[in-house]
Parts: sequence; structure tokens; C-alpha cells
Amino acid sequence: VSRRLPDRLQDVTPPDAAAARARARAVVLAAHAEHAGSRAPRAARGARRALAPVAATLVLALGAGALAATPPGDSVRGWVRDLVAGSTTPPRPAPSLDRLPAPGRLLVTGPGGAWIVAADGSRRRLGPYTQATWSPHGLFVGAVRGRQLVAVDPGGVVRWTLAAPLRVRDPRWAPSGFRVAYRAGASLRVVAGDGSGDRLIARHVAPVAPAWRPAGARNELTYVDGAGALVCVDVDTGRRLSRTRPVGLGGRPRTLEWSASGRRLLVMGPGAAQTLTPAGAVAGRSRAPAGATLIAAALAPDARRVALVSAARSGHRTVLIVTPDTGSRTLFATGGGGVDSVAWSPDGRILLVPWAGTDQWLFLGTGGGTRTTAVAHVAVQFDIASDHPRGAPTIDGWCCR
Amino acid sequence: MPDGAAMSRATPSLALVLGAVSVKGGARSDAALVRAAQAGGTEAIEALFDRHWPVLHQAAYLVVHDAAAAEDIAQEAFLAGLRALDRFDRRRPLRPWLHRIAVNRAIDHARARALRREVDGPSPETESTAPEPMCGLGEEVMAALALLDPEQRAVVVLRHLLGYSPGEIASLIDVPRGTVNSRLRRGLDSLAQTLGDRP
Repeated sequence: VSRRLPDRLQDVTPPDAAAARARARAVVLAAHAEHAGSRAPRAARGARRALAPVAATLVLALGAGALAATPPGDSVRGWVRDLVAGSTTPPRPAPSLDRLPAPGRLLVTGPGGAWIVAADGSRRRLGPYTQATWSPHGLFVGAVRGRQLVAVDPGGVVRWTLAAPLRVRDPRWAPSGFRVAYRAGASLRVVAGDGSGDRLIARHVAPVAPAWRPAGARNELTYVDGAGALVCVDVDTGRRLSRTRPVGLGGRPRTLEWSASGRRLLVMGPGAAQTLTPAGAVAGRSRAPAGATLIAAALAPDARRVALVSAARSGHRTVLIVTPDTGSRTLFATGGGGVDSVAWSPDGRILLVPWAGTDQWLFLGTGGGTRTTAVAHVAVQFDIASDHPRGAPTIDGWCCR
Repeated sequence: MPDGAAMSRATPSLALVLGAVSVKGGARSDAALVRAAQAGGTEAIEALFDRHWPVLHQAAYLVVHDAAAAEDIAQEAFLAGLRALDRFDRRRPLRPWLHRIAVNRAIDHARARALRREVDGPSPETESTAPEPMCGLGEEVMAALALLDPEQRAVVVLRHLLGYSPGEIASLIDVPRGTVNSRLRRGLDSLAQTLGDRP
């Protein structure tokens, strides 16, 4: 009885947990401010008041000096200065993609269309699609072309096509295999895996890809509504299971991803990434580096680690792997712009970082003695001209073990 | 005229930091945060709150089965901690200290509510404290926990959510260790019966 009880207890979270947390936080901080104020001796408070203008001037002067002396991107370097860094030069890139360094197949989209990359490095073009999603076992691909949602098999044969009234984006195939969610204009819709039964789920949602929660035979979908709240809905019954307004993200959510167990939801905002329990309580959190914005996040298959990409105002990118539950952070790569996404291998040992600024893919070994490797001349291998303004292919999925 | 992407591609600047470097800059210890909080640091209070609130709130909710009461109880535990901050011995761990306050208050609350129910009979307020629907998980285990008495719920939560040993639980809620073991046994038997082999 006791073996699985800890997990089951952890799954229980008070209703409206995020709001309760925000209320309690405000009360506790207010009490602390009052407590700290009442502790300060009267004389010390007087001295502090007298010194305040001097201190403010010093801070301003130091700040101005630091700004003047700090080249762009140093805010990020300053933040990682604490890290015990052992910088090395990048590995010598292979001239072409000969094989994947981990099991599975990649789904790649870009200006040259959608492609599947097999484990041996061979590539097959599926068609002129701009975004794509694997079905749970990699038997099909849901792909997008303008106002069409298309299901194709890995050989590129079209199985069905659905025409939507508005431009289609962010297809996501449910873990059950029986539903595909997608955004059409500002709305969120769901269609059965055989292309039938297309229906509206929400009229107005945020421009964020929805995320299916692995929940056995149930089809539970989480999305960001027009007000920035996280909504979880059973798409088959239409029952709304929860609505949570996340706090502490530094803005509205931009990325959602459920763990394979369905017990953790990764939510990334511009200022922080959080892992939430199914009821919306924060299980772990990792802030963006000072002065930088988070632009991509991906949950590792073990659901403990999160890969984050942050961008400084200069465009300088940093790739970190964090463990939100413990607060630990590991710097993996830092460099010029052009990293907008990352993808974990199905075994969790490799993090693929498409680095458009160098036209390379980096396969970062994240533990277990896995080597870091790189591949050069990526764009041309996916039929993208080297001077194309949006020349980097995007990783839409790495499937399956 | 080369565009921005092509320009950046022509001037690669990339540094890799290979292997598992670095955990410095990660989590500060509770003792360090308490020291900073004693010096008046608001960030330290925020960090302590962020670290301990979720579990404290969750544990209180599992014992009292009432969202509003759980919020009050967890909040009160933090406020009690704040009031005692100046006197807090930093050599002692903070976590069990907060848990002791929250769980004992939760037991008191649940007992008082049970007593009110005996005296007054069921009221719409008490009936409305059943857990609300959540995103999937947790409903079955809440229903099974509801069949335990508050003391049994508390030891199950302390043992299987918070990970304390029976000896530590005995010290936290101030009962003999044998009492903890018997409550734990009865609680787990009841959960096994209600949930079948599902826990």
C-alpha cells in the first residue's frame, strides 16, 4: 500500500492553489516588512533616513559606471560567473548528419518543409509543411500547411486533410492517439485521429501551443486562455477540470509541456519557468538570468530536469539545464544569437540545440558519459538556402525510444 | 546585402561549457536564508516562502480537507515562524519546525470541526468542504483519506508525503512512538481497503 502512496499524495493539491499561494505570500511579506520595521531601533532608523540620499547617489553612480563598462551580453556572463565553468571550444562539427547520437527519429520543419531524420541520419521530406507533431508512437505525423491540418504517414503519404477557416498552428497529437489539438486563428480546436469530429474547444486562446496531459484513455488538454490562465479540460466530456492563473512567471505563459507521467506540467514565462502539479501548485521554479528573457524550455523525459534557453538584450543566448525542485543549474552552452528551441532525446541523454547563428546542430551530452557532438551546414541539408532570412530548421519532436 | 541571419552565421561565436559543471548559485541552505532573513532580507523570506509553502499548504489540506482552512493554517505557520525569527536557533532545521506548527494546527482544526459536527449536526458549510474537481489526479486518494480520523491522516501525511520516520513523527506531534505506529498501521489498512491495490 505504502509504495505508491507518496506519489498519490503529491498529486493532491488544494483547489485554487496558485491564488492561495499569492495571497499568503503577500500577507507573509507584509508581516515581514512590518516586523523588520518594528525591530529597527529608532536611532538607527533616523541614521538610515539621513544616509538614504547618499546611498541612493552611490547606487546610481555605481550603476552608471557598470552600465558604461559593461559590453552587451555581460549581464548573462555576470550571472553565470558563479558557475564553476570549465569552458572549452566547441567540438569539431561533422560536415553532415551521418547518424543521430541517441535512439529515435527527429521531426524537423523549416522553410524547406517538414522532414523526418532517421537514426542513421537519412532524411525524408514529408511535404511543404510549416509545423508538425508526432503521433504517440511515431506512426503518423500531423502537419500544418496554411489553413490545412494534414495527417501523413512517415513515408509522406497523406491520410487525411482538414480545412480550417483560419490559419492553423501548433498541432499536438494526444498521447491516447485518438485526438489532435490545433489552433485556428485565435481559437482552439480538436479533431479525432482519423480526421473526423472536428470541434471547437475554446473561442479565444493565447498564442501558445496547447499540451495534452497523459491520462490513460482520457483526453485532457491544457491551454492558455485569453486572460493568461491555464485551463485544463476533458475534451471528450467538455468538462473544465481546472483553471489556474499562474504567478511569478514574469508575464504570460509562453510554453506548456506535460511530463510523460502526467504528474508535472512545465510552464515557461518570460521571467521564470515552473513545474506545476496537476492542480496548479508550484512544485519547482527557476528564474531567468538577470536582464535576460526565457525564450524556450523543454522538460527532460525524467521530468526532473528542464532545458532553458535565455536571451540577453544583446541577443546573446545561454542554454542551461536546471532542476527546478532543487534549484540547481548547469550551464551548457553560451554564445551568439540564433537558438530558439531545444529538444531532448527520448532517452534523456542528449539535448539537441539548433544553433542558427553557426548553422550547426549541437548534440549536448547531458550525463552518463555521453559525448557532445556537432553537425555543420545544417540548413542546406534541409533544402534551405544559406542566405535565407529564416534559415534555421526547427525541431518539432524527437520520437520514440 | 547580407541579412542579419547570414551575418550572424558568418561570425560564429560560441562557447560550450561541457560536462556537468556548476551547481553554485543554485539553492541556498535554509540556515543561510534564515540568517539573511534575521538581518531583514526580504528576498530571503521570499525564498523561504517559495521553498516551503507548497508542501506546507498541501500537507495542511490533506489533513483538514478544507481549502480555506489549509490556506489559513499554512499561512499561520509562516507568520508564527516570522514572529519567532529573531529567537530561531539557526543550528536547528527549519523544515520540521514549520511542519510541526502546521500539522498540529491542522489536527486541532480537524478535531474541532469534528466536534462541531457532533454537537450541531452536518451543516451546508461543512458539506461544502469536499475537494473540488481537479485536473485528473488526486480525487480517489482524497476520498480515501476522508475516511480516516485527523490523527491518522496526520501521521500518514507526515510519513508518506513529508518522509519523516515514526520516531520523528512522535516527536513532532508529541505522542509515543507506539501510538504513531498503530495510527499508521490503521490508516494504511483503511487506505488499502478503500483504494484496493491502487495506492
